[in-house]
Amino acid sequence: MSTHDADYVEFVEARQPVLRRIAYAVCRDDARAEDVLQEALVKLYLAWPRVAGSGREEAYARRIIVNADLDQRRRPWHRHRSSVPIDQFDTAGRRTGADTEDRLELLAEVRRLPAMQRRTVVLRYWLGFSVEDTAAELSISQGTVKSHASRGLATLRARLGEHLEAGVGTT
Amino acid sequence: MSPETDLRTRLDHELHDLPAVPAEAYLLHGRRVRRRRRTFGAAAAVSTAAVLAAVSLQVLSPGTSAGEGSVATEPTASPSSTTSDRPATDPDLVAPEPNNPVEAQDGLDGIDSFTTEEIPSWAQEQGHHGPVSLTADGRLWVAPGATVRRVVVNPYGADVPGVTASFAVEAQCGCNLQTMPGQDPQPDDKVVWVILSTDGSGPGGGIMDDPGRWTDDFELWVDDQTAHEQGRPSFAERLVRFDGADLVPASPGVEVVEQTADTGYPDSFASRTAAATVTYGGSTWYVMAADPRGEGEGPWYAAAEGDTAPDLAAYVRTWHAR
Repeated sequence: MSTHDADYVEFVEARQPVLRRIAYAVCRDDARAEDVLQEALVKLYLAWPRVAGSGREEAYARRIIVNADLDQRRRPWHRHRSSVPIDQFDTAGRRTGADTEDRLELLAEVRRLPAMQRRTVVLRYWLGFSVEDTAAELSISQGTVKSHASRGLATLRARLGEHLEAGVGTT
Repeated sequence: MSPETDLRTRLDHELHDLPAVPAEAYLLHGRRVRRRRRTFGAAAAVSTAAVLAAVSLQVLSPGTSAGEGSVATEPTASPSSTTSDRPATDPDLVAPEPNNPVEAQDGLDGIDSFTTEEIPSWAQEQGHHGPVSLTADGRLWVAPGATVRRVVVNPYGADVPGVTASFAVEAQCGCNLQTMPGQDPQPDDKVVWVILSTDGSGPGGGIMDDPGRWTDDFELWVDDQTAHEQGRPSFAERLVRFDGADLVPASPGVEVVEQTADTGYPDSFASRTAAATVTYGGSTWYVMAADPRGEGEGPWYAAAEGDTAPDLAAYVRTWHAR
């Protein structure tokens, strides 16, 4: 394996969990999340000569994920591509347990949000992006960020029927 | 209900135990995508045979230029696709000999093609049609709304009796695909691989397949699809063969890494079955082989790229999930 490829593998091993969580949060379902994550990591591989060592590797992949077509219906032929089928994932990592539905209630509601509200809620209130950084990540205005984020948060509060703190750690 | 009320904490909690994928799987996929990418300049320089074939088609069908509405669409290049991404160490996989090392070109440049506003009756069957079809005189019809990504001109070559024209096409379908009962409707943006041929007596027929069903490599797929008509063994048959109950390499450069006779098929199905992990040309493949009882046609072999499953056992299980 070349140094180029070894460095890429090392990066993916280290940061795949974070990127996968972002994909799962912003995409409408698990299958689309895996597709988007794969697309992002493949594009990162293609750009690796330019990006590697810059400190921007994760940001590069993350930006592809959050700006992807989050709700695209998964085309049947993708199932036969190199995406590993769900039932062949590391079983130790599968979500199990009697409280799974309860535990995933917030994620389910986040996924019901329109795509742009989902993006802004995840970037602002989960990843802790500032309004300015969120706007840059999504190539939209700061006013638009505030609008989508507030509407998304209001929807989550209404649907979950409880006091839901945004828990934003940064401004 | 979870006791957490903080959005960040709750999402952290709900997303903490996601499944993992080996990093090498993404590496392999990235390598294949990088290998498939072509610039127009590279495609024209590499494929002398394809250029000659395209020129000859134009000579046979003069006056059939873009004026008839031929669709010459170029695939949209990814923003990350630059000459700096060209592979430095990974050559394209060339299948073991006897092979058909075709080179695909991007788009329809130089190909005698046309489209129509309506679907011609000869291009459809029971109301269904694909992204392309082939006229008796060897012109490629492209369905309205379809996008042709790559083409191999004359994939069968000059030696297959009865074939006067042929194309292999990778297209994004703007079409109405036939579905079997119980099958999900096929989306209009489905990407398909199609191989078409005609003997000059009528519209061409062919085969349609899903990219990635066993390989992501379009040119390798064409090599395999043309093997039977050209009197060659299939790709899988060039990887391994039965020697008694075991699988052994069928070509130089093939290595059987591991194999198992535990394929999940009953003894009543076949006199022998085996599955193996093999390597060839720097790539890893899985192979399933069986010698069915009572059919009299000898063993069959099927291959799939190594990243279609994390290990051999998982690959074997996919056969029983079909």
